[in-house]
Amino acid sequence: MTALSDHIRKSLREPEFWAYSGWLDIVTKYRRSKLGLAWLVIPPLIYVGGVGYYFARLQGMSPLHFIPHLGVGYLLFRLLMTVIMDSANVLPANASFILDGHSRLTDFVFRVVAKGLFYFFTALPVLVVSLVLSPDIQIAGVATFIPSLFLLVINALWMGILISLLGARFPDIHELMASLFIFGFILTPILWTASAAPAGTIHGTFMRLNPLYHLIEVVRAPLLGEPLEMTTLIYVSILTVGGWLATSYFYRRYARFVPLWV
Amino acid sequence: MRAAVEPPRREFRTIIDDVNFKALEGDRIGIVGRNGAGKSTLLRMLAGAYEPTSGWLEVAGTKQALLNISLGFNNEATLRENIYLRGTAMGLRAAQLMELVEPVLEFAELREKAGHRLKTLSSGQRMRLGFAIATAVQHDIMVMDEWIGAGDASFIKKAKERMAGRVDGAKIVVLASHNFQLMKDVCNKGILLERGRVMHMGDIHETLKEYEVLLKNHASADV
Repeated sequence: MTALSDHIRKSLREPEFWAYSGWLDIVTKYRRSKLGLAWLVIPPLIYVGGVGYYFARLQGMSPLHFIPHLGVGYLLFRLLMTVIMDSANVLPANASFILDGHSRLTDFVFRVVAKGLFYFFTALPVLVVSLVLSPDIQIAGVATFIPSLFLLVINALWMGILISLLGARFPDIHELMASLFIFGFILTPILWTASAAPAGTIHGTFMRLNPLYHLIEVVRAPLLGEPLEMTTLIYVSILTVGGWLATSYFYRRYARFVPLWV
Repeated sequence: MRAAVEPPRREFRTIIDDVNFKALEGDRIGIVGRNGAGKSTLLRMLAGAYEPTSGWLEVAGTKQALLNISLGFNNEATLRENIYLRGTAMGLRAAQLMELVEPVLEFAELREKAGHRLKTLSSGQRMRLGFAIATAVQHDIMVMDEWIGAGDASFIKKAKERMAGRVDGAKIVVLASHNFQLMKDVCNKGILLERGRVMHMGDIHETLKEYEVLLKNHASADV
């Protein structure tokens, strides 16, 4: 019997392990490359600037309008994707720690979330530039950015914990997520705008089933003055409460089996 | 072809059954048994990794498991960074970590390699580093699996001395090994496991004698 809230509280109070191991993961990844940590900024720059410009032209939109839309959407999508994908095999990857008696599994998920957030924040300057140049930027939206991002991270956290447990038991989860996210990227309005999929249409319904759409929209819509549907607020509330309830149930029931699975 | 269609099956098995013992301050318990008797499973249970499906385990005091001293490293990180990494995994706080690095490098005789990547180490050096980190801090309870694998003779001697020191400082030691001499040197009590059950429990010398009898019976049964 392990209470999830108890482990999360302790992970927050003793951040040394997950913070340091996450940091090491990042710096060692680029250690041998010539450009080093510049690789943290180059991909978002290419993606937001390059792809953003190209797609704006392709759709006949002004790049100044479109690039911030794509930038915020892409970086939030990448955050959710890396957290969920990495969580799917984080427990087997840390099997040696777990079998030595490190039974606070939230530490390993925190490591993944911290890494994802670090990538997000290093890419933020690119985003800030595009937002400052944007004619759509809403001052009120900037104020809601911090709380809405917090809401998104809270959701990413329970998803990470739940997926880590499932991934420890079923290695298939990692494969499944890899396939789902390819579809998820198409299904989320990043390269296109939500107004292209109005409610009531088949593709509109599909888009609205996608939790990634709602989580990204909660952060992005107020920022860029795009319409935020009531459905999104209701969906995100249910997702947050339901997700945490389900995750604490699964954690209490199954966390103790993880050493047997990894 | 067979490998593709016949994956290994997962099944629930009782590995450890009906094992009851109490370790008090000053106890040095040696666990012996044939391969597959359940020694490592029992140690992992004591370390807190596996939870018993029935029964309970009560622990008082700080505890350190030395089951796997060379895993959990980051190959691309330097030795110094790996010392921090293992240190944080062992639950040390930031201030303690700073004090950990020098003594560990000193003991492992790897001071000049401190800024090199871990993957540049030989397996013996790796083992030395792992051992030095795992034994750097004194704990009340130590749970150990057969610990000296690689390493040259001079290091093994040094490791044995440190273990003796650590073991003397610890209040309770539980050790699994096939090394009779080591058991006699370190332990005062013994548990003989066979198929997950306790076959004998008591003084270490008696236990080792029982174990010899068990091994002899099996050897003659095979002939």
